Amino acid sequence: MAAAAPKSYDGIALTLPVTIGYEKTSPHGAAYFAGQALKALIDGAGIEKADIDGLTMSSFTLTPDNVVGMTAYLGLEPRWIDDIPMGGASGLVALRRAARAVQAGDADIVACIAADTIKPGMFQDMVANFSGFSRDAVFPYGAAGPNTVFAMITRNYMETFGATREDFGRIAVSQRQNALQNPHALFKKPLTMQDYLAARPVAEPLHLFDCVMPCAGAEAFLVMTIDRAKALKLPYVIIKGAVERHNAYSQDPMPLRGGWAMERERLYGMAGLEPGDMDFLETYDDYPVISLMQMEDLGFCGKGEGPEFLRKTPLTVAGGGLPHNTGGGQLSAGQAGAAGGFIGLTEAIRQLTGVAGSQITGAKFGLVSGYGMVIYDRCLCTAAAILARGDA
Amino acid sequence: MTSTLRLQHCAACGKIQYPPREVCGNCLSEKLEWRKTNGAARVLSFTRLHASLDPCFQGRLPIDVLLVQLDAGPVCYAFAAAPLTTGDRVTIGERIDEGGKTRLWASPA
Repeated sequence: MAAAAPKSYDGIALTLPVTIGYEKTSPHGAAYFAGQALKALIDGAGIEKADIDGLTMSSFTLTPDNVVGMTAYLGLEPRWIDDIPMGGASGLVALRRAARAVQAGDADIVACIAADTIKPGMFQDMVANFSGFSRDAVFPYGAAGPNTVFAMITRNYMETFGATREDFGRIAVSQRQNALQNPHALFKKPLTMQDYLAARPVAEPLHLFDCVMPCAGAEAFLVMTIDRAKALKLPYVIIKGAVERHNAYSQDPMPLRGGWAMERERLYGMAGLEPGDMDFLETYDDYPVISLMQMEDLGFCGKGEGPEFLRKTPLTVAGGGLPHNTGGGQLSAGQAGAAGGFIGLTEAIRQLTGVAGSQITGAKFGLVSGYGMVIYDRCLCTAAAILARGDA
Repeated sequence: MTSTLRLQHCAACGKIQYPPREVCGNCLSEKLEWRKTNGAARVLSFTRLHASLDPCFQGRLPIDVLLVQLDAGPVCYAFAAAPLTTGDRVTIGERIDEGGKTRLWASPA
C-alpha cells in the first residue's frame, strides 16, 4: 500500500555512543548502569547534566521503576521523556522518538539509555511473567523461555528453506571473529565451526552457541541537532531513514518474515539508497535465524535465499562481503537486557565516526535493524534505520 | 486422562481465540464464551528441550514440546504425548498437571 513518505530526519545528529559493562553477574541494580551511562554521556559530550532535557529509558529489570522514576533518581528535570519497553527494537524506536522530539523543538539534547542488571533468579522471574500470553500459554510448556519459541521458528525455517545448522553457524562464527576487537564483549575466544556444531543442545535445533548470554550493562547515545553536535565538536551520524512496524504479518501461522519486509520500501525510499550501498549491517541477533530473516527482509537477498547468501558472502569486517554485527553482536558480546536493542546502534555510530574496535575503512552508510518482545510465538516489535557518516 | 479442548469463541463474530483474553482479538467484542472445541490440529514445528528454568521440569528433561495449528484457527504450544513431527495430524486435549493447572497435550490423530 503506497503511503505518503514520512518526514525526513534532516537536521538530526546521533552522537556519543556509550557502552557500560558487560558483567556476567552484578550486585547492582539496573539504575546503577543507567547512571553510569548518563555520566559517560555528559562527560563525553562536555555538557552539564542539566543540558539533558529529554530522556528515554529501556529496561527489563528497572522494575518497579521506568523512565519516570529515573528523572528523580538521576536528578533530571526533562521537558520530554518516553519509556521504550520494546526489547531488541528499543534503540531504533528510541531514536525515532527522540529525533522527532528534537525536530519539533520539544527537546534539545535527548539521552537514550538502555540498562539492565542480572542477578540469580531474576531471568527466570522475568521470563515466567514476560507477557500475559507467554505466562499463560508458553512458559507452562517446559519453562524454557524464548529458546522454545525460537527453536520452533528455527526448525520451521530449516524445513521450509533447507537451511542447515552450518548455515546458522556462519553467523555465530563470523560474529565471534568480529567480537575479538570489542573490549566490551564477554566472549574473548574465537569460535570455530566445529565448536559451534559440537556444542550441547539447548532446545533442538538450537545448541549452545545459538543462544545469547544474559548479562548486566548499559548502552546509550545522544540525539540532538546537527548544529548542536557541531557546536559541541562531537563526531556525529545522520539518519537517512528509519521505520518500525509491530505485530507484522500476524496471520502468518509461523513467522518466516518480519515487519522489516513491510517497511523495506519505505526505508530505502526515505534514504534514497539500496542494500548494496550499505557498508555494514547490524541485525538483532537473539538467534541466528532472526539475523538471517532480517538479511532477507531488508533486501540483502531474497526470501529463502539466506542460506545461499551466507555460504557465499563473508560476514567478517575484513572479509570483503557484508560486514555483519561488526562488534560481535549479542551472541558474542552478551545481552545486557534491553541494551541488546541498542548495541547495533552504538556499534554503527562507532563505525561511522571511525572509532569502532574492528573498524571498516571509510564506512559511510550502515543499516541497523531491531526485533523485540516475544509476547507469544514471535517477537512483535521490528524496526530499522539507515545511518550515514555526518558528512555523507 | 485427556479431556476435550475448550477455547473461547466470540459470540459476535465467531472467531476462536487463544491464548485467552477478555476482548475478541478480531472484533473487540467482550462476548467471549468458553466452549468445547474440536482439537484437530497439524504440527507446525517441534523442539526437544534440554534445559529449563523451572526445577520441576529440570528433573524431567528432555521434554518434547510442539507448536500446532488447530483447524479451529489458533496456534498453540502443547506437550507431545508421543513422538511427533512437522506435518503430523494430532488431536489437542487438556490434562490437569500436579499443580492443578490445565495443560494442552497433543496425541497422534
